[in-house]
Amino acid sequence: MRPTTPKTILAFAASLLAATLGAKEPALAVPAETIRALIVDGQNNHNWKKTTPVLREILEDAGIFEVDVATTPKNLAEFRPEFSKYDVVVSNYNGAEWPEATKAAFVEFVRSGGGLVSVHAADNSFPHWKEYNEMIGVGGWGGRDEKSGPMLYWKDGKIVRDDSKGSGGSHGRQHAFQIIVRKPDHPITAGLPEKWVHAQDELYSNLRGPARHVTVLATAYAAPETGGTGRHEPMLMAIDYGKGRVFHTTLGHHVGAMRCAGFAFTLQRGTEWAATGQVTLKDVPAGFPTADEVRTWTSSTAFGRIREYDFGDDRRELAALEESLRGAPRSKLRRAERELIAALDDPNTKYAGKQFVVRVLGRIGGARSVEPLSTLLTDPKLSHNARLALQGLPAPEATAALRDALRLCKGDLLIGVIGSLAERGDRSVVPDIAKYLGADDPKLAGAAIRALGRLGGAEAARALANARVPESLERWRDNARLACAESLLADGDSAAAAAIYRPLAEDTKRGPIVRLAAYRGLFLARKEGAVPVILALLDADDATLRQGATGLLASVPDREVTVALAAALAGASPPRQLDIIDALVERGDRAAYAAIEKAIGSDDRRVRLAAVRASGALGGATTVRVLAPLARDGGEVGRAAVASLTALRGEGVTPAIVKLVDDEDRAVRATAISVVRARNESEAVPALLEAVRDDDERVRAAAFDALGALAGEADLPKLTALLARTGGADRERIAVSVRRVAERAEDRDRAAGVVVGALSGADRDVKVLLIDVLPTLSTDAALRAAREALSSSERAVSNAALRALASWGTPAPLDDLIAVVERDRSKLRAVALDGALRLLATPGNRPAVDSVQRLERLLGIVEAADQKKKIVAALAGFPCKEALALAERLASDETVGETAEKVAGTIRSVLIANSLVATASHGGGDTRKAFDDNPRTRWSTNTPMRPGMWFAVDLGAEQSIKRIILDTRDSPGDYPRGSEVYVSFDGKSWGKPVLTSPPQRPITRLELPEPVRGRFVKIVQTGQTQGLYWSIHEMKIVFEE
Amino acid sequence: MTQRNLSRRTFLRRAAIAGAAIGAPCIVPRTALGLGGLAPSERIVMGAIGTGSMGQGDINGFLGKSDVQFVAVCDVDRNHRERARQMVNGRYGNEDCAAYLDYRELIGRGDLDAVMTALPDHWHALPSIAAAEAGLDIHGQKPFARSIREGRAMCDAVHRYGRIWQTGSQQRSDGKFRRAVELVRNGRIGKVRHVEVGLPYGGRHDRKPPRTPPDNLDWDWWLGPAPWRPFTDFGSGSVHWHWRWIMDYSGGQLTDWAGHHIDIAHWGLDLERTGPVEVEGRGLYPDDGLYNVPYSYRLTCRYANGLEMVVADNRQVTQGAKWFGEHGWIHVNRGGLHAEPASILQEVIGPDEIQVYKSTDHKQNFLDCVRSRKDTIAPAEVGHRSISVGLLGEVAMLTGRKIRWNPDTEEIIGDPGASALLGRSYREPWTL
Repeated sequence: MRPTTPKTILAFAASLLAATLGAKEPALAVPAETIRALIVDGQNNHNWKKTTPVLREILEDAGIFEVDVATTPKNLAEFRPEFSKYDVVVSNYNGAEWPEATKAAFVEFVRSGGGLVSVHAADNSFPHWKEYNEMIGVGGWGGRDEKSGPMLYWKDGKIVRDDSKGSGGSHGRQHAFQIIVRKPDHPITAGLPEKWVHAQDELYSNLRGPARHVTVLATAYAAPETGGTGRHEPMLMAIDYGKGRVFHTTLGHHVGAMRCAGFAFTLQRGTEWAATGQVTLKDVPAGFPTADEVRTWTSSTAFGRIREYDFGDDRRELAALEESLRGAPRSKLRRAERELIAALDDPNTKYAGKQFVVRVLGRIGGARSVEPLSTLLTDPKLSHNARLALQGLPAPEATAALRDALRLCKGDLLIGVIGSLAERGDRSVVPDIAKYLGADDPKLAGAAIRALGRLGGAEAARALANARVPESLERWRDNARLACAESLLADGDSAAAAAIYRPLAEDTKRGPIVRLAAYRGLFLARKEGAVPVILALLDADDATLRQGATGLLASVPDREVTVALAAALAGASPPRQLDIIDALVERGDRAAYAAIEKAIGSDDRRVRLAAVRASGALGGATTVRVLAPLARDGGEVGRAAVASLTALRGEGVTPAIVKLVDDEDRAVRATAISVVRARNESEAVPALLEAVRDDDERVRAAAFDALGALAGEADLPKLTALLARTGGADRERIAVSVRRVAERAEDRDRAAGVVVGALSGADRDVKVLLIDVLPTLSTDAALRAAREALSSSERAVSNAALRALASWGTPAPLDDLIAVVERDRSKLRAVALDGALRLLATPGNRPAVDSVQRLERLLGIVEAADQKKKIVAALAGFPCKEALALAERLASDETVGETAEKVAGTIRSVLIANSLVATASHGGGDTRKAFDDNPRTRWSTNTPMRPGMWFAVDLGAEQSIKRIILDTRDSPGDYPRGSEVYVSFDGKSWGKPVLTSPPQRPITRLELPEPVRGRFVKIVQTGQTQGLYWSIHEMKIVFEE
Repeated sequence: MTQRNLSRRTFLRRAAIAGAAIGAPCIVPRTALGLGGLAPSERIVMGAIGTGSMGQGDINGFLGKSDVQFVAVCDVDRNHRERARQMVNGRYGNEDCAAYLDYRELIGRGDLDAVMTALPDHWHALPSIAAAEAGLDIHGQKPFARSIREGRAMCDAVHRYGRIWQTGSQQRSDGKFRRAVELVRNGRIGKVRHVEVGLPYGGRHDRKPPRTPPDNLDWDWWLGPAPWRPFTDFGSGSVHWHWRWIMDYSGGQLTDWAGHHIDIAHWGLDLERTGPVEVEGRGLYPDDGLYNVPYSYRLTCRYANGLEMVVADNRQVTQGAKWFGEHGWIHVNRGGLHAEPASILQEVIGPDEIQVYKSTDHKQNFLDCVRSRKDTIAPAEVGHRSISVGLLGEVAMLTGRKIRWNPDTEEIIGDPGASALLGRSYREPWTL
């Protein structure tokens, strides 16, 4: 009975057969007698459906095999191939045991002289079938271990049989590896390079089995860094079994590994040897891998396959053919070119096949391809295909062929040929193309015009200038002439370019876009020589030209242009001077500075002002001395001078400005101090520390102010020391500076150290000033110092400390203040109470109930009615059940009843009405639309989604949040591309997300793992889109009851 | 040019002066009709060519700008065209937006200031050149062009007419990338030794038979200058999006992303307006099916200053741009900015150091430059040079040969076969 063969494989075989028949040249070798081979597959932990066709393709390509495939049926009991009809069985099978009768027939087949080829995982199969394991010699996996037999590997010039314990079969990660031939006199390996690289594959190792009558033909080193054994493992083996022969290749994990030319050729030879004991495939193919390069196998039928190929067909052979040509030696490319041309000439080759050929010829073709390609130029369907190859073909014959085609083609085909000639860039065709400039067909004339523009050069420019073209194409002609002028300019012939540009620029009948382009060209051609022409353009009637001229003056490069422009400055009219100064600033070339400095002396106020401004951009260290005196001017010029001093950059500028801090002129000193401040020059700090001793109070005040802005933590000791030494108004100024330095301090602990250190030993007044600085720092050390000062016997000091604690930056001293309220009955109680209420309101991420408890405690302490009222009023800030209960209880109180009632009302409305307030990082004030119960309206970011965009909700009162739902059904693309949910008590401290969610569409359901209590909820969008906004049509928050 | 146009441009000039004094607004909130800010007559009048998914995203971005007035859209797929028209009309609450199949009609209207294009790569050159010749400014999607010769022609046209060009390489307007570039340019990792650029891996593998094109699509127009083939579902049910994996229209992930991360790498090296002198590489191509661009690739590019840049898919090098210097490395991608040592990231760039061009809103930068007539953050020459690296890599992989390149003359040295691949032959009646 014939083996069952799926239809697809039959069809594939038929197409291959046809391909082989269609080829003009015979296959690699002419077989004396066809070898009948049977590939067995149907089960494998590898993709046998993909690999069997490749095995078949490789075998058939040798030209000596006739190949059938036997695929195991669903019911394995029916698997009974007629082995005896074949010369060799190629196993691509790794699966369940065959029926006993089939196994027996198979053993009989090999034992009596049949051949077997075991490919890759076939040696994993049948771990318990004794005879099979004797056939393959060694195998892997399937429970194989030392009981299966020894491992084989190559060591010290020979094969070692290793009986040590361990499981059989392993491999490291896939990689390309070198195969080393160990038995060069065997028919399978004869003539192969000693070493060759095999494509990326699994390197089978630790195979074990009976290992009798095994000849190891080739090994590969399983490098430890790839996860290998560190041993030379057998890759190709020849085994004798009875009268039969077995070729065992461990290679071929996937199609890629099988398309290695090394795998393919050894498979062809190995299969022939297993079938006949001989190898007639003696010629090692030119594309065999080398010691350091993988080579892809090309089927000799691939060229034949081109003749079959149509759009949508299997493209594997064509893809492999293309691959084999990448980086191939010239000789191989020339051979391929011949084959490709043959396929192109073949009348059977379809459109798709021809297109394939011309694409490849476009990469590898030469003079030989020109003739067959050019015959297609007049074919309406194939003309473009021919040009795909001809347009870039590196042979002068291609130009000639295209030129000849001008006479033969018409209409669109002619236009295509003209376009390709232009792209070849050979200017010898200019006269041929110029003939079409006056064509009646405007499309043709237009193509000729564009082609001459692409070709460029003097001859094309002349032809264009002299041609008569239809009015509708004048604009194209101008464009082409401009392009020609550019090519002349690029070739260094600026005179010829200018000769084209000037008349185009000055022709007032032409549109401003062309004229401006021509002026630009003229400027580039004539450089500094064109400066007067462009300056004159500033007075043009046309706005586009005027505006364009400004742009050109600012942008056409070269120092010479800057110099010419600067030279023109002095002699120009004041309005033009302004334009020139603008352009010079834009050019940013300091070569213009001398002229600018001169213009500072202009009589025209606007010019003077512009020059002063420009000097900030173009000047350097020497400019400081020029601008400093001007800065005394109280008017516009003075302000401009200060701005320029502030803007000046360059070597020596900073020291020059710092030097002015102790200038003789007190006005200059004051200006210099404000400039160093604006420039953020910390280098000026030493000079400023001197300037604080200036006779002039204005200078001193400016210096202290600047120190406040520029000094760092490192300068704090000097400033606090100064505080101790100075009296009067300056003492306050220093205190302000100290505070500002403290505010900016990156290292607050260090700054606090200085301030706390200065406290000890300071006199009372200084102490008070320093204590004032402590809340700015609000560090632990500062808090300790403030607490200590609170218990000072000096009243002024302890009062200052109380004030400091009351304005502390964190809620840390809250209980200190409550304690003061408790123990102090003087007017300080009010200060402490206000402070405590303030700190309660400071975000501390406390549950509302904690705050309510503290308020209740305070209420028990104070007696004054206004203080009691304040406390009750504060309750409203912490809406929760407990606050409501307290307020309701107090409603009947004589003193605070009225307030409490109001507060209770507020809390109640918050709790009941649940009035939401939502804010968002983007999108303005539309957040309400997310809660308006109208799914048509929405809140949206109004800008494409970016990570970090957020939408936050203040629930008004604390709630246990279970779930959040974002409905975006009405803008299906606007769902968040990832979201994080944060919950907070105070809307400030958010902590870590309580939930992170991937994108969900169109409704985002954010189910919290467990209910989370808080008053504020924030959704942060974490993904990105190119153009889509993030929108919320409706948002629902579900609470736990 | 019509008289109306001239007065419009006068207006732009005035607006430019006013804008300079006020400073560039960043985010303008849109009002109910979305018409905050400038009066219609002062807005930049725009049209869109190519209104598929990318085009609609870009239109949406521009519609969010109060200083733009969209008046026309163009696409060869009626569905896309109509969707874009409705987007525009919906934004303005009228029916004024015109819709075209032929981009030349859109450009020929005479009332446009600028166009945006979002087209398959093989259609990048012709509309851009036509727009520049008509005196329009252009926001064009990356990659800049499908071939180096096309890219040069586009740059020439843009420069010839003094047009404003912005490539849609919006990473340039993202603070992370600018920050990375400034740190590298100012030597925070010392002299740069080599660079790695990681781009997405992959493509698709599919085989589909040709079929009749759908009614809504003008197939001949879609192909345009590309070689003819029968209409085939490229994987999305139509040809949209998955043209990316077919060499006639695109170079795959490599050329799609070269305009991003190679662009950023060049920016950091101040090599934005030049190119490598040598490119070699290897690509893995699908062994069957419709798609034929490499899904895995590795290029080594050498620059005249000796610097080596490796461009590879992200299974071989980390995605993004990574500069290795004497004192550490800096790596930036869309996910973030990283450095070794990490302290580099705290470094402050002083006022006397190199400050690179700053843009924080890509599309706004284009609009601002349309008014100011200054170069955008992503001008034509820069976009062309970025994609040129990917295109040279494509040539190196297709031929399997090392390409020697003269970045000044933009010619391949000593390999006429490879030089043939610098341009593409256009299907008639299109010519470059």
